[in-house]
Amino acid sequence: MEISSRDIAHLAHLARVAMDDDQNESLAHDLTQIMGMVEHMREMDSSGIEPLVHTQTAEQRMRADEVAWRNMREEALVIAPMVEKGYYLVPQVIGGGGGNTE
Amino acid sequence: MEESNTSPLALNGCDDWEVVIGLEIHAQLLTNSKLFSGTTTRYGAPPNTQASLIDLGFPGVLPVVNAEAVRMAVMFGLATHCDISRHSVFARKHYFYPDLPKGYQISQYELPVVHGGYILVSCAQNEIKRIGITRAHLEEDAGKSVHENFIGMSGIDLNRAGAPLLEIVSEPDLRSPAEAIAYMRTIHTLVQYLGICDGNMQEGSFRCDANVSVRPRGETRLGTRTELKNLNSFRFVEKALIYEVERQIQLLEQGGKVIQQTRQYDPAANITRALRSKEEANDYRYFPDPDLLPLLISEALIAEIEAEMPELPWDRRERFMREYGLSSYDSGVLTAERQLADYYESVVREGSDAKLAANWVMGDVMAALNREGLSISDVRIIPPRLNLLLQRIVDGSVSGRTAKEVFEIMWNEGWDADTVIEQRGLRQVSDNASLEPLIRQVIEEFPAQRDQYRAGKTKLLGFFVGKVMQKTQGKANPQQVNALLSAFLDE
Repeated sequence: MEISSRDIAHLAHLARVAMDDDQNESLAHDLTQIMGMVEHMREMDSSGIEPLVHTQTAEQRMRADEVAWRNMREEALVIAPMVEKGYYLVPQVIGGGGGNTE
Repeated sequence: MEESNTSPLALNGCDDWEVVIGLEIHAQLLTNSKLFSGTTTRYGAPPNTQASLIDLGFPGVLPVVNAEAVRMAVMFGLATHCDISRHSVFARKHYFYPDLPKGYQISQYELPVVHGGYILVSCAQNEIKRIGITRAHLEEDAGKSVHENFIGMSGIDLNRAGAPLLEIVSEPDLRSPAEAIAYMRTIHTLVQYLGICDGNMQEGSFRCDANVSVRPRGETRLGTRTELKNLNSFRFVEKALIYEVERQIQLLEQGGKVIQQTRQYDPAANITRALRSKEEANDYRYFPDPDLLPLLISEALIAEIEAEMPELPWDRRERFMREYGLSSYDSGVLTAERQLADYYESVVREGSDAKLAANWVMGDVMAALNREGLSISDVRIIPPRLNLLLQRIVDGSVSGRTAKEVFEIMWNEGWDADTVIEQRGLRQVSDNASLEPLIRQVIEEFPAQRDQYRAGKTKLLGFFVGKVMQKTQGKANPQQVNALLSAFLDE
């Protein structure tokens, strides 16, 4: 599977990563190679094998629903470029997520 | 605010077009701490005071799943006939927005915690519809952007970042905005009964996205859909859906095409506006979160949760009909909110007649709450006191009409019924000994009317009743006055 420099530009945009043409081309080349390996792996018969989502075999531990936290606002706000009234300030965003999960 | 162009066609569907709606409901789970951190989820704290390093997405931290959130998701799954995944996976959903500190949201994608269930919804004309629940998955909430108070900038509050959400996705089984609302209300009632969400829409604890399309009636393929985002009140959901359905029908009837896009409802203008189209649609690049191992839910845990399930709203509704002899409608009203049903049931358990109590709770109690914009948790008359008032109606101490007056005084001033009745002299006069002389006196005062009555003009009975009630200041028992008057007039 050929990964084009358009694919790379699209991914870079999605990841908000700046990239020049040289980097783009070299990445397109590398990823095409990697995809070739993936395609090779796909030729294996994997029917009957459970998909592996994690290399660890352990299961997720859960924690009790207990509150344990402290107010870290002042420590956190100092690393932000702009703050006001306890809020982080960012260039105006309207619409989009609108403050809710997608 | 503009009035909605509520056309019954759009609300209930129309002849030529079939409406297809699916809802994604986000219910914030009522845990003490966040989904992956120990930070409190308390609402209303000053901005950014409830955001820990995990919530802020600092490097080197490790999320750990809140067991209670998992329990709650399982409860929802059991209540909606879903399969509970013995093995489910948390995935990262990537997008960039200032209120999403990590640049991804921990959610579930291919293997959600519950899936493949349904819920029965009472729609118009008492029709019961089975609405499919595709899935419900656990995910963390984002923060909040505030646009109003900052000139040319937006303020970000991350207190809500990491709060536990259950995203409940329906099948596209809803055929009108009215059905969508009925479904949403059913889920709203259910999550409150289960005690897994407070259902508070103002605070954003319960909100909804809608996928909407229309197709010519008889067509089996789905039309192109649009997605309406962040609808946070039942009224807005209904208005937004009605607008969007009409917009799509008009567009298609004029030979146009619906474009697949995300739209936002503007309540002030009562329209929906395009946010982004499919070409710009987000590609979330989901993948299993390497910080989190697969979530395994044991048979033992499921059995334990099943044993602790509270009575579900539809079961309670059935029981109210069976046990208290209430109509389906009355039971529906009384069980729509768990706290209201609890209140009603406490009044009955105090000893009140079930039907009388139902009439009073749905009548005077709910009217008083609505008048003052209060919810049932703010009710001013506790069940034993309402019971006492109802007992006083049954034992004849007060008439139903006077009881309403007593109720108002109890509501506003906080006394119990007996105190109000005694202090205001509202006790109904129902002993014959004190009524008889009074009635004879009234008959003597109006000899002309008495003679006319005796000559056959029996309608005048009402005139005499009125006079007696005047003299007793409404305290006489009307049935008794009627009986005594008829007897004396016919002498």
